[in-house]
Amino acid sequence: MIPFERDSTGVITASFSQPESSLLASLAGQVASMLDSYAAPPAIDDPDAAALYASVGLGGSSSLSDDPAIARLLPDAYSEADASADFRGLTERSLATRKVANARAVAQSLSDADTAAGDVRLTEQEAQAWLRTLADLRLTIAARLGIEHDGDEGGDDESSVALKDVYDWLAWVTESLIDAIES
Amino acid sequence: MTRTLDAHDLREQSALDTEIGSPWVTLVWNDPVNLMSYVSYVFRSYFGFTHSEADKRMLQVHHDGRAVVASGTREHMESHVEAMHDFGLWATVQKADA
Repeated sequence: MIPFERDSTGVITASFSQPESSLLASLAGQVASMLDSYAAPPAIDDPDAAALYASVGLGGSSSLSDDPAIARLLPDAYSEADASADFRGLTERSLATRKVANARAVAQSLSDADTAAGDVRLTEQEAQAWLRTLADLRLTIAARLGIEHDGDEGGDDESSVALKDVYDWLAWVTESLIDAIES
Repeated sequence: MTRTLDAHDLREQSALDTEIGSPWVTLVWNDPVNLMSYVSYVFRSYFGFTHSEADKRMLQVHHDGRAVVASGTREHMESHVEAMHDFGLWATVQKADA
């Protein structure tokens, strides 16, 4: 990967190898899928169907997820269960929707770069979407690796070590993006 | 008798509002995932802290397990929490004297 930087016109660019790009797009896609059912449902034209959909409360939940990755991406906002549930009812859907949109924006940037056989080029808004998605990806991987406390390294079996390498690489990508944004 | 408030009076007034009417805080909690550089960046870009203030709070999160990053009305603190969750940080709202 050629790290993020601002080019001579001020646009934030980076260059990923084919395997890196595929990996990143795949991970972003997985996060989008994971959160999709928590996000806003699609607009439904038929008002009766829309009312039914809304009344069943599809999308959103009332308490912290059992899935540790989702729990970390959609965490509690209060230490008290009631207050947390109220807050979750009002905000979870829009938070999940934004996270899905950010992950999809990352996949789109990669696809555009692939099509143009060139660098990833980001607007300031896309750079912010990338920053948030990179955090969501690392949080998800950490949950899968069982990283719960500072210094945890995850398992020493082959697939955990490979996943941990990706996790560390994403940290490096994040720092390069922060540097580019602030340059 | 009335007079217009000067700058000194306005500062005292708003400090008083913060204490009496708005006793809630936003806490950011440590987690093993987010980079110190990222947490600092979030504090600078979202809260507008200087580099030095942002690093100080980031280190507080890191060493003490959590830090207060804002205080004010409950609604305001909730919107800060939403923004932190957006960034992938974990934040909560609580009463200032809890």
